[in-house]
Amino acid sequence: MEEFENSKLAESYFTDFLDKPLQNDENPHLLQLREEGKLSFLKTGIPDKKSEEWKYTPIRKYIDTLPVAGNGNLAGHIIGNGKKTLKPLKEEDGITLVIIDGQWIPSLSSPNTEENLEIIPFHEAETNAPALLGRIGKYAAMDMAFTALNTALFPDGLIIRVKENSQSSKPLHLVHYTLGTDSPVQHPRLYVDIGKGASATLVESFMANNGSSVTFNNSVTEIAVGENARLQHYYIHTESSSEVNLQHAHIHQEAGSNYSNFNFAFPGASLIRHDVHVGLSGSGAATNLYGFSLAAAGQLIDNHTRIDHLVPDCTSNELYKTIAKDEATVVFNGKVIVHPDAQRTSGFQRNNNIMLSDTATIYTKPQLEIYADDVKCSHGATLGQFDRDALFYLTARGIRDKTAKEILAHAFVTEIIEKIPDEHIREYINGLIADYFIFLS
Amino acid sequence: MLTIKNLHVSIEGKEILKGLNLEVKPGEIHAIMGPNGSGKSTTASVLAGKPEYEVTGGEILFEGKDLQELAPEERAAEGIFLAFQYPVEIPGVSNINFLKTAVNEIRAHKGLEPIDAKSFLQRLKEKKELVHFSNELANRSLNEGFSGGEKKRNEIFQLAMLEPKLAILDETDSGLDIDALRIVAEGVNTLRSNNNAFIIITHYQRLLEYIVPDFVHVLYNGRIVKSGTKELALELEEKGYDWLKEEAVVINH
Repeated sequence: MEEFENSKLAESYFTDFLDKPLQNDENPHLLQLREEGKLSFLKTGIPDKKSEEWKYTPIRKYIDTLPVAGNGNLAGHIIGNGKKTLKPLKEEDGITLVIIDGQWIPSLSSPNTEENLEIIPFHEAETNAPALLGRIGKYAAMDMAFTALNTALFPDGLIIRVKENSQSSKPLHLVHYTLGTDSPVQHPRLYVDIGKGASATLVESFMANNGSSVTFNNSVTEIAVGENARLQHYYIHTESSSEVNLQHAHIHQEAGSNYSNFNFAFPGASLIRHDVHVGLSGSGAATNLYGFSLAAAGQLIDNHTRIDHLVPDCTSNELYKTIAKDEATVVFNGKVIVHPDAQRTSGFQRNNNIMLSDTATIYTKPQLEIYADDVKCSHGATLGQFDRDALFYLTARGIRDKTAKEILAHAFVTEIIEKIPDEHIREYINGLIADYFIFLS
Repeated sequence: MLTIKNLHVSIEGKEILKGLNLEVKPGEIHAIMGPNGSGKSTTASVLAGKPEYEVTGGEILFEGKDLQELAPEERAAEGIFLAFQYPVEIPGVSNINFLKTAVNEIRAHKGLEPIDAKSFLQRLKEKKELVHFSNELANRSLNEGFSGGEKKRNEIFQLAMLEPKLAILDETDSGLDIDALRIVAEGVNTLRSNNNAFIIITHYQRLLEYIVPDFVHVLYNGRIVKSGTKELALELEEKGYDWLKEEAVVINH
């Protein structure tokens, strides 16, 4: 009975708003968007196992563990950890924006020294960037339950804009903390606009809140990559075990643009779910989705990607790798849709998984739907353990079994690390990998 | 140094070695020859501790220690080295880092500090020359894209770097052209001393023209059926193995 009460209570975070008026926005576009989000969510509701997209991720189970109230102000606790945690990348290596519960905290962030970079909270956008504000919601897929929910409920969001034909020399680093200050459930929202011919690097780190009660982060990010523009986009997950993190990214690519996503998830968060949707909408656009997850303990890491080849002559390239140990579960669902007009499409996808325990579970599902006839597409998935011959070869040279496994794990992830163009970020990721690989066996 | 007594070994329930005896002393080079399927590679693998092989009887003593008690890495740290017949390609692991890790893990086993960079580089330079190894090869991923000969030279390079007491060369000569064979043999001859020993497993007498063994053993059907000096290798080259098979039948009865 008590459990039932709890779960009812927890669900109220997702249903309470339905019979109340929405936050009355200053902006009619946002208000209309929220109405749409609300209506969509009314239709979908919280997805359950019957939903194909949530088959292996019992999201209700996570919702049921939510506490009845927010955590109060924990910001001091986080800040007390010192600058090092607040800014994982060196100051000179990037512009750091500290974001707590989806809200940019300028007083904790680096000053924006880049002339070509604009950082605009939604509430300022009506006067500073009305055109961009009008585009919010344009690329988000409202038929996805949590995207709809976020759209109905996001508080102030952030617009990041890189001006046309500019080179943003330093990476922009968003350091996210989900503290669950007012509510354990948060709905951060981002809109990223990379102008025509511009080039930029966006790093998003999800830091540990070290909290004891469960937080539920439901982010939606829309990204528009303009004609011939380039964006490198990183996700780095190092949350704590009480955190649930849902990340929905909707990426729109214009002709000749290049988008690369690197997604690193490490032991910590109880659930990390990514929905990365890319729409290749201008010919000659290229997209690269790379991911590496090391899943441990009872962690569930779920990557759902979808690439829509909408026009001819685009390229997509996808490589996700996983090492799962303990009782961890990993899900990979890679959908590639080649639409009827998208002739001369190149689409490659590969998913390699290593299981280090009998109790780890891996679900992998490539999903190619091809409606054009002149295409080059391939996909492949592997599932196994460390190669026995390789392990024996290393140990026969005096290398302990534990070290040998670390070496093979490094070798496994190297293929992805090598693709990171930015030297400082590569170094940072290598450091994280070295730290986490100590606990491989 | 090494004493093998009445060794019985099975893989997947099939008995391969059926009472092998061998005694190797420091400073000696032993050649083990024999037809396909006689148990040569099994002997090499079981000495290095390959997990798939099950010792069902007998014992292997290395410097008085029971090898069966030791994991592969402990055997290596104690001074056993297997030059693989089929060296494994491991993309993403640099040859040099691999060697440095191996050197340091063996040192740690002996309670020694990690090797300092200068000594390591010095040793690297010296041993690379020994096997005519280019920097390009040394810096590549472990055996990745190496030719057959390059892989075998890499085995000897590792052998030189790790300085084991007992080295087992499992058909190191197979697939080598004459130049590579000479390089490998030169390497072994430079490395041999009164303190170390070699077991050279080979099909053919050819390698033994360059590395002169003290003893030649013929392995047949899981046992050593004949032992002799280097002349035995020549005799085998001439007559093949059939006459030994007949003798073995006689011995078995």
